[in-house]
Amino acid sequence: MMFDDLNTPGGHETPSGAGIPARGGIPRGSEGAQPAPLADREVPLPGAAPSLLHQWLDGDVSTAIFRATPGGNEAVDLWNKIHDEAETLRSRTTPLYVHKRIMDALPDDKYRENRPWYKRPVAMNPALIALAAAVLLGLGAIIARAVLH
Amino acid sequence: MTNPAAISTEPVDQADLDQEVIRRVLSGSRDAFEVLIVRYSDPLYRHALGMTGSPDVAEDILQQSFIKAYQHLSEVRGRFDAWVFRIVANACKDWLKNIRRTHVSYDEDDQPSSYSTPDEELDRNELRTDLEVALAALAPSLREAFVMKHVEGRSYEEMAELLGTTVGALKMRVHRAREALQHLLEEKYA
Repeated sequence: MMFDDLNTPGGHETPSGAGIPARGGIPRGSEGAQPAPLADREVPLPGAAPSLLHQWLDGDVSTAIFRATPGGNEAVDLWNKIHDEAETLRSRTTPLYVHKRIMDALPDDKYRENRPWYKRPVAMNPALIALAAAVLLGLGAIIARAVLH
Repeated sequence: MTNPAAISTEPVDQADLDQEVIRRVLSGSRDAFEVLIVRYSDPLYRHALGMTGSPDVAEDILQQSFIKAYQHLSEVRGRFDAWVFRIVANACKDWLKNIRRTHVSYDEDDQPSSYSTPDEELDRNELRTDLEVALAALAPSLREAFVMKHVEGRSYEEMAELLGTTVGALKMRVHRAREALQHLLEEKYA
């Protein structure tokens, strides 16, 4: 069984935007004057007051009062089981290897060009080594000449 | 219900600290990004786990989302935690909409058992499986609202801020999700 999603247009950015929320932290789906999706309409149906179950689950009605209603006991037992399960899930943490995996997968050169030149890593190659050696030799010669004279 | 995830109830200066880290990353310090990963991965992982029911998928979604966040870091305006949450939330909903899943559940990994007796563990595993099946029957937006409210323990206001929608709309989604789950599970468990 699949419960229909009646509110596809709202509250979710399109995949074409690579899942990146709009600038300013405002989801693109909330912009514009589109009518609220059917599932989100806030106007209550005539005569349909919020049920006691929701009031209880939202903390607006005590468990004792809710238990006293028809079917209340069974509902409390069921939701206690669901909450126990939720509690287990809530204690889960990210496995530590995931942090390293993410860091290893980050592109290396994305913001490298923004780094000051003196902080950038120098890639050594034979030509650069030869150039550095020549510069050092030249400097040495100049210093030696200055000292000897 | 308490809220240990508490992404948006962090002190205000947490946003400033995030901005400082972002500034460092953008100026070329790639390693600084790890601070943001460590700071926010747990609540994001729990959201992905609640939405997909699979630790492996949750890890993949977390990784892809952080890489996406890194690549678009210069586009962050406002709070980083809310921004990266929306990336993860969208990835989860896309996964739910696109994937044709075989059976997956969040007990498929090697987490140590915390149940006192084998019978209790068996009962809990059965409930977990049934709950996962029931959650899988919900539309992604309903599942998202239910997970944020009942698994992550967020307030409606916090949910509205993170998802960019109204409290009333989220209440409707949570109510629909509860009624659907109750309908699916009450025969067996109530």
